[in-house]
Amino acid sequence: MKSHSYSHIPYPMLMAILCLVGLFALTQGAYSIAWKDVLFSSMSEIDKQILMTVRLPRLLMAVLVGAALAVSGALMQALFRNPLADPGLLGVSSGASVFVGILIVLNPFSGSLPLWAQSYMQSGAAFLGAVLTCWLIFQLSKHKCQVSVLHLLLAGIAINALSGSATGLLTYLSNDEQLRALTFWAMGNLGGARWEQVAVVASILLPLLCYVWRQSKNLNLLLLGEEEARYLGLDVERFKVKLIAVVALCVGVTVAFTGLIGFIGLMVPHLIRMMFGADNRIVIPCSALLGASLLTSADTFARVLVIPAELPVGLVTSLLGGPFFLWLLLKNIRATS
Amino acid sequence: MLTVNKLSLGRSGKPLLDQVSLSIQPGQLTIILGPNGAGKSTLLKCCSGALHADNGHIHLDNKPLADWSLADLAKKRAVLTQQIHMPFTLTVKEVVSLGLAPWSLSDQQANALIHETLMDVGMADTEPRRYANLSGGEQQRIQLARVLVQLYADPNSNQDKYTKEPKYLFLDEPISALDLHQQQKVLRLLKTLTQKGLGIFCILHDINLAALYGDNLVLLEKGRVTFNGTPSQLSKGNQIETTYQADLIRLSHPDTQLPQWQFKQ
Repeated sequence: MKSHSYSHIPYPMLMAILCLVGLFALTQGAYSIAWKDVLFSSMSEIDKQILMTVRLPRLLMAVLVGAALAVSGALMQALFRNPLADPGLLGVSSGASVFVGILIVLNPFSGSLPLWAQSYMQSGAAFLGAVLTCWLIFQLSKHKCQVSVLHLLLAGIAINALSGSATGLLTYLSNDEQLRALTFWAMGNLGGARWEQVAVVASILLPLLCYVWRQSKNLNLLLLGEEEARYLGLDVERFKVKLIAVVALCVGVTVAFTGLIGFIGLMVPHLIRMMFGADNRIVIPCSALLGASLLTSADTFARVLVIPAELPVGLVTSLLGGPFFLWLLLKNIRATS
Repeated sequence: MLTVNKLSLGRSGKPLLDQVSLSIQPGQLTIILGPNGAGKSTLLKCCSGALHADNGHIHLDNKPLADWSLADLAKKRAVLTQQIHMPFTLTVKEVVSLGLAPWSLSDQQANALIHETLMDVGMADTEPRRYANLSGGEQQRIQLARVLVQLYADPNSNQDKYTKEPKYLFLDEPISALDLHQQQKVLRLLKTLTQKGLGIFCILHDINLAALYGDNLVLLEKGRVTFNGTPSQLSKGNQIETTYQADLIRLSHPDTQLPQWQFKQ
């Protein structure tokens, strides 16, 4: 079936929110720029410099990462047929953080490499960790050539516990400086975003997001159940493998460049479903837009709340997301009882 | 025609299906009967391509079932399973439109078809409502509409005839949650569909309804076929009594003279 007419869906509203939030992010901070100057590009040299080298790449990074986190949350929820599923749940993020922890604490190259090379190595380690964890979880949950969602969840819980203790051990082994680096990374940060990084992240995330959008019709079939989706012509096993690979890539890339930023994947798709229904052809693109807006505003808050210092953005999203998750859980419990 | 030839399937040493042979003819309502655990749903899964049997052959329109691609099968047959739990709240229209997945219809065609099919199952007024807010029986009829839409949507076949390009419908207890009026309505609908050339494989629990509406009855017991024939042929033997091991008296339907069974109390 071809796409519905979306006229009643407020894409314009979500786009407007993103633009406003984006403009706010560009103008606010330790050094404020007048929004009129940004809109009519009548900025002074120093304004331009700050905008182009610091704020714009950071804004684009927040937009990309927010969209990717929200969409991978929506993907996992469709795959697990459970509104509480989230990439953090599978242990993908924590697996990635173990690898970064190993690099920070047991760094075999420390001192011998320049700073930029070390930051790239950290990103590489997170990515490797995410992909390896996904592969491991996937192997553990494969049963008679089929991927069982229950096994996948249980494997995720085990991996999460294992990663938790590994990270704890690394914390125990680390010295003061390493501990600080580890803690800040784990709280998530968009601070270091530079154009080269934005380019790398965009080149990976944008095709993935487009792919997921194109698959939203098939994601809807999974809502009926795997057996029913097969009866409707979907090769469910192959589709699940592809989805898990997409999640691993999305989470790997975002964790690699920005650290752990939680709850976006849980909150955003849920809000979208409450507002516009559960049709994934709407949930996927709307989640991308709202996820981008939410992370951008969280990051702006993180920057302006304690000027001249900066809060880690993961802390802000968790502060928002923790209560939200509890509320969701309570609502679910009340609905079932 | 769908033909099943000496199909056997076992799980951990216990036979679920034992040398089952039968055929589903286009234009016929074939009803599968049998006690709990007789292998009815397993047989349905094998015939619809969800399960592979250990031994035996299934052919769909003279081609081995295993050679059909998932996409082609989805255009050839639709399957309604027993319990469908939907975790997220879609609207009724969205649920029914999932049945259109194998096809590419224009919005206009899709809307018309969905509306028409919802009328068939008596749920036209629920189109914009949320699926999760409907009763169990209403949800069952919505899911029936979804599988019907999957077969109706073929642009190559005349909407009213399935004789040129036979299609099949597999139903696992499609009326289990329906009230008397709706049961009759759905069974009459299935009858009309078979008259248009559809081949239907339907699992039922009610032997009286099966005898009244079925063109062909198949009785399963512990994975074996103990009877395969018309309702009037079934009235000649005592397979119902021995298979179900229930204390029954046999009557004759006053209008149709078809066999009916009642408890002896």
